[in-house]
Amino acid sequence: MAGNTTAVPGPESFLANGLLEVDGISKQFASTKAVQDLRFTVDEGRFIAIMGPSGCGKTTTLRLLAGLEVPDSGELRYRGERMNEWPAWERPFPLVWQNLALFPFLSVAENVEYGLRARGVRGRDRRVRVDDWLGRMEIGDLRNRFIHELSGGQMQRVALARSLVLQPEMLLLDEPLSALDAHLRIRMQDVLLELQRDLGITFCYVTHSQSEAFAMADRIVIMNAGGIEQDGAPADIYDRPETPFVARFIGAHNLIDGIISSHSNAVVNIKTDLGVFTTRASGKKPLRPGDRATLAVRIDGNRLSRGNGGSGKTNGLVGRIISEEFNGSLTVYNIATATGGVFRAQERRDQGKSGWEHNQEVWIEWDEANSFALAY
Amino acid sequence: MIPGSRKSKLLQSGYVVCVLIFLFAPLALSAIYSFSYQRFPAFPVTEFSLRWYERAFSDGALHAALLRSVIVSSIVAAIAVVIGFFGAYTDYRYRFFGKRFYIVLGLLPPTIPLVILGLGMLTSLSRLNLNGTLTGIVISHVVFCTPFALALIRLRLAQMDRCLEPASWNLGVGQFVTLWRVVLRFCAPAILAAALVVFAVSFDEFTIAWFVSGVEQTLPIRVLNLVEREASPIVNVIGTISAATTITLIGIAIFIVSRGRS
Repeated sequence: MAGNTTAVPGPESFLANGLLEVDGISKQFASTKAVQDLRFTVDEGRFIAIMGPSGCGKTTTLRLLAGLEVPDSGELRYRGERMNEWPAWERPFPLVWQNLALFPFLSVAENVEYGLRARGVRGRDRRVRVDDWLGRMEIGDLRNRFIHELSGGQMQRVALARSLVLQPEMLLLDEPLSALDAHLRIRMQDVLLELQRDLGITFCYVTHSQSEAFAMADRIVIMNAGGIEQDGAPADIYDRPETPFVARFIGAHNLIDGIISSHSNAVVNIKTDLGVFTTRASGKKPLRPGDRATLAVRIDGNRLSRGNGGSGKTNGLVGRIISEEFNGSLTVYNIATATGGVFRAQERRDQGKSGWEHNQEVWIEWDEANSFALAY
Repeated sequence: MIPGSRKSKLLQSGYVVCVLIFLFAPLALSAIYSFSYQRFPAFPVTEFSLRWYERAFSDGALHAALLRSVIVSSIVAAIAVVIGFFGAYTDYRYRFFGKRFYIVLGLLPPTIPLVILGLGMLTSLSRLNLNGTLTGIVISHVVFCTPFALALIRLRLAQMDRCLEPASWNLGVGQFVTLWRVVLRFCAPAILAAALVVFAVSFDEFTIAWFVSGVEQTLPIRVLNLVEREASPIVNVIGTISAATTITLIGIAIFIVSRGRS
């Protein structure tokens, strides 16, 4: 299941970097399988994002790492040591909670020093460390305030300070920015990214937001229905989704379902309701003639032209412009196809025929290289 | 009634005033009479004096009864709050078979007619040779009062963010210390309020105490004895003082609970 799209130098160095290994973990709640045979490794000093739709098992995964759930089977290893049985309070990974879970009856400074007290850090040492983090997070002036007197962004900083003051090797984050408005979210992304780089600690970040994951992570694990769909670098996931689910979730490709009609010498023909297209094979599963598959065509890999395409090219189809979305120098056209689906095509505004009109018939064509087929 | 219309508003306020008069007029009258010089109360009071207060304070049996009541109510408040807290916490934290039954059972005692509860207590306590002792009264009152504590603390716990406890564990604090530093700390206002309410309920409780107390009379029983012999105006004094105590305690409790909620 585990993807190894990232270049792996060799088994030994791979293990040496592996701060945390999740080895075949399964967890079931009543009759629902929350996660199933989960396998991935978290390397030291990386920013890893676990992403997926709600209910995919990403939060359960984080709770398993934090020791708030006990796996039914499989092994969790921290620096090679089994940690399944370690209680939550003995696991060295502070968690930044989705709702922050700050203590409402404590002041900002008391919240930040809470974990240090438990570790027996006393006196001057504790004061210095708390002050240091209050300063770093720019909340020094708020030290005597109570939590309900703070703004959302300030609470966020308290939550980060409370975790990071413990100088952990790894920080777990459970959708920590979801409560913030869009503007603040972008700013906190920068804060997080800078922190992770400066401190060099590992971030394990759970989110359903693609923009957060792609903006910050250097590795993304995509989960669905309790399993891992794809695990790799952001660019790989964006350019080469391995399953139809990932392609649909990321949304960088148009997907057209069909049946494989032939597959030889890396050339795949796929028969769809919109015609037969030539492409290449991709993904984890092999493509055999007669298999159900989906054709993925990059949104930014098309050419639009007038008319209905008598050029005889294989890879093209007719559509009718239904709407357009401006995005700076780019425009995305939503084009209705003959089967009633919507095909998205992106054009630079300075290139091509800008300003296609509503309801205009266009011919969409693409190079084979900008498309691939994925088996279901 | 149409909300907002002037007539209905007037009717509503009138209704509330009537209810309040109905509830508090006897108390107010008793308080006024306690300051009257006359032996047999008559309205309007012509001459005010503190003579019944002086009489009450110099009555040794009354002193003893008051002391007993304060001791019983304090111990009952302490025990009821501890049991109530753990009952509420069990309900908050765990899921188990028969949980509803457990909570209903915990909240049941005040709904049982007092005479039946008192009689039941008397028969069980006499088997244990505890009837007529302060311990017996304490046990009976704990049974009767714990539900009040349980309900109040449960209400507070329901407002606690479910992530607070695990957040504390996650920061390296074990279960028991977390219970102390987070859960108890969060519930502190409700616990204090519950203690005050339980104290007030136990302090005023008459029926059960009447069954299980022998010579160890609490204040309400003492009052009955006074009234049985003669209609002494001292009763007005005791009534006024204990009503004032109860109202103050409940007032503080309401203040604490409503402040904790904001």
